[in-house]
Amino acid sequence: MVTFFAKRLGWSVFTVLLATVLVFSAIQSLPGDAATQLLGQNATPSAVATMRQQLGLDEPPVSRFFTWLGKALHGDFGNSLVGGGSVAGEVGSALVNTSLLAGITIVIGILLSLVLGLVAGLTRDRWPDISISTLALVGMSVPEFVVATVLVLLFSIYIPIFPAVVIAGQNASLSDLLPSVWLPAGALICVLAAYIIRMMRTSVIDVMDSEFVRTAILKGNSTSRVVFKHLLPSAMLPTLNVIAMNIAWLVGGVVVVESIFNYPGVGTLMIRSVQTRDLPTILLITVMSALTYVVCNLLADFAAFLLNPRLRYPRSSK
Amino acid sequence: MTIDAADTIDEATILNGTDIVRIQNLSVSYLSGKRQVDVLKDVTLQLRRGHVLGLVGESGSGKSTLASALLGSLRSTSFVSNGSVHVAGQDVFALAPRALRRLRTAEVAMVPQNAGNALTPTMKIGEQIAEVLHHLKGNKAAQRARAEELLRLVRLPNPGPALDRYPHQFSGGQQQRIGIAMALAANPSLLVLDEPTTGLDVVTQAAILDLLMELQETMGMSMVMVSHDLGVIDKMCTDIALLRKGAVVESGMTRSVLAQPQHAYTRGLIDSVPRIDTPGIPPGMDQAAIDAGTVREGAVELYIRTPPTKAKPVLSVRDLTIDYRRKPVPGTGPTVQDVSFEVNAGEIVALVGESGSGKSTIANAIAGLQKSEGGQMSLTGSGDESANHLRGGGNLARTVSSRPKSLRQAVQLIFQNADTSLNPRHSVRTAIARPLKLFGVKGATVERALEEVELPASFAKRLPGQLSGGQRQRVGIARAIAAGPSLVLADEVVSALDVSVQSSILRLMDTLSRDKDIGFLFITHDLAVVRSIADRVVVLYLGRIVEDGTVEEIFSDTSHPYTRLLLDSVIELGDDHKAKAQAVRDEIPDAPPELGCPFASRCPIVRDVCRTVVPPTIQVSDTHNIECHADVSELRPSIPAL
Repeated sequence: MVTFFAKRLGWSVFTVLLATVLVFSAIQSLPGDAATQLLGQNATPSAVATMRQQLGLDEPPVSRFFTWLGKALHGDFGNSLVGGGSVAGEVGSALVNTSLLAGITIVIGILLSLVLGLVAGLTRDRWPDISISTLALVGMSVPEFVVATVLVLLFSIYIPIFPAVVIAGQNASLSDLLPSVWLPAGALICVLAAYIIRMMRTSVIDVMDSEFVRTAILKGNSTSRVVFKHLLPSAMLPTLNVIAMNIAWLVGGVVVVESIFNYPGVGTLMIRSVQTRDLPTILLITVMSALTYVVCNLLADFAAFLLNPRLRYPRSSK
Repeated sequence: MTIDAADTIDEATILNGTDIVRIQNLSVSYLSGKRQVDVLKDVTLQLRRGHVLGLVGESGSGKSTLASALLGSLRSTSFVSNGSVHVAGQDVFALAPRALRRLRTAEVAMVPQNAGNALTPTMKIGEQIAEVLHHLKGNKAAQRARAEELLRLVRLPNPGPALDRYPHQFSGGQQQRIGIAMALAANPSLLVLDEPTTGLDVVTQAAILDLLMELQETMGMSMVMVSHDLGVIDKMCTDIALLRKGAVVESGMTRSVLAQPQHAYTRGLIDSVPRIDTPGIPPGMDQAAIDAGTVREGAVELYIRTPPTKAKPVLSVRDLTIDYRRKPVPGTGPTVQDVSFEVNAGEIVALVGESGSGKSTIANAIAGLQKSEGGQMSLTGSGDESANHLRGGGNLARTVSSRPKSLRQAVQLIFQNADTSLNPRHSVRTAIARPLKLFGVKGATVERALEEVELPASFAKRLPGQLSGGQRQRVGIARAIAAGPSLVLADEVVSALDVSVQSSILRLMDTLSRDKDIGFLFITHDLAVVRSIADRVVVLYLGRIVEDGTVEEIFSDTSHPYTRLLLDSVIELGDDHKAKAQAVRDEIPDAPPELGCPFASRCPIVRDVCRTVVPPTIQVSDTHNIECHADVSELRPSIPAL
């Protein structure tokens, strides 16, 4: 078990490193850099060269990457090429805002979709299943920006209970943000839930057909006992990985949804940084996204380990 | 039990409690499109308290549906279209959900066919037993004590610590014991058993059945037992009902029905069971004659196979050793050690042993699917001039990916489950044409291959799902034979089939071995099948050969104690079950011992030397060898009874 998780941890570090390398080279291969972006189209070549020198962009890319990596390992992610402030501070405050959004989405989204998936699976082919499955299918097929727009139309224009966009800027406090977090969270939940519901439904149906659930029913157990003690642990197992994948997807989904609602989170910051080729900021956000992905998968493995006694106790000799 | 279809249910009879089960004109159906298909047709049966009813029939006869109807449970698409089921005086299909649950907790419990699948994998077994103990609800300590007592009752080793373990930590036989303990926990008045020993080895089966019989007698339980095995029914049941296509064709007292069957189907079923005491393949069942109701008169005509006269070896295995262990474990030896045997052209050699005896491991090594650590395996030229693919013979030490094509062509496999070994999306033609194309077999067509396994050429278009079990196995055989092999490895090829189909597949193997001079290595745990088809037998225990000889010699009086144990554990129709010795209860150890005889831990005539020194070979005859420290005179059954 220890070796299993040690191995997984090693791979996780590798994954994060690989992600930073990829993003670094992708930004390098784009035409233009922070200097040209900052000075605009009419800048003289000598001004651009001076700016490059100031920003340290005249060094070869490989050495720049390793300089960055060396400092990053010590917690110094450098300064923004554009704003000049500490990247860690800027990303950090955006991350807090995004965490609020993501946290609400994950907690409500996962609970809701597990319950709906379970209900759909248990009422297979009857009306609750058909309505839940249809809604999930719609959620999967409609892109998040459409969902977001519809939500804005419904809940800030027809029934004005939530603000349509966030007016508070980058430095808004959590309490300022709280009223405006619900619509973006709703949009994200709609898309996130669709996949988990469908997976949970399939897996509940599979386990319902298994002999041990049939036996549990024939033993005269109450329905709730059959569902929660016998069925749920086994049905959760395949769903865990889908949940982990979807949380990781959330990092990408956040970018679009945040920018629609002008929510001052990592997504909005990411778009701005890409526009200005602000490499240190982009790199840190990448590292953060990759970390989220890796941590989610590790957590899913760990949860599977807790749910599945076959992993915890491999068949021992008598 | 009596059949009185004309009678209506007399409420008084139900209430006075002499009958635990009353099934009256029961029909169960499902809808296929708009058509109503009957799974059970007008079944009327009664079972008196304390009696044991056997439900016998082939796959699709509705016997399992009938068994689960006793618990008020049907497949979600099926429904009761007529009649009623009364258990302990209650009409089970008229009960409200709460009352039905009470019935299942108090009156009727089910022992599943495969406890390995029926125990919840994520719950400790102690908890799974405890949840049935409703009368002790809330008292954890009392529940635990009772659960432990139940595990002791079914003779599970170390019942106390076992409560805190999960199902996958037990062997198949132990899981079945736990399944029985779980069913007994409710103290039911009726126990329903659906093929309770089908997946188990003969020795474990005998032990479980003895246990059930003892429990039934001491607790005075009524039982309904579903089985396809007439021997098991004969041993266990006072009453019997034979089902065919959803209808009861014959029922009555077990002994009299089986001794003097009235219905053509009963007769056919009895006749098609191979026996360990008589050589020969029984006749297949003539379904048309049964439909017409003609009962065959006179003695059963068995087909006796003639072994090949000339010994031309095709496969030679010398001192084969296979080790699964990553690093040596003290006190244990390699999985397979020093196994040597030969298969001649046209010969059928049976590899026999319980699960864990290494028979499939050896077959996999020969097929090149498993690496071997020592010894030689070689394919010698088949001697058949037309088999042009293999002139010089071949070394089988390498695994399949590094074997030359001609060698891969010469060794073919037939699998146990034709349904899972055939790709469901590929037609029969694709499945058979593949080896023809791959090996460039000349002059062979899919139609020829189908003809050889007695299937019409039109079957080439079909998908595996459109075939019956027996037909699918024929396709599996056709696929193996099409390549023109000199050796075929047949792993439990008939064990998943109904007896009526079994004999026709055995006949087919016989024909193919003679006509094509193919050597068959036939892997099975079914000794009656071995007796009917094999020419020579190799008996394995924990990866070591304990006895080998011609089929007559193996089934003769002089046997290795392990062979004797296997033979004594076989339960056959018409045996004097009470007089039969109780089976040895020890289970097969997980790993073979490092030193001495592998069977020492279970052997009734064990001596000190057995635990340290590898047993010498006793040559009973030119062809008959027994690996044992005992004297030949001790290996006859009159000496210590097992």
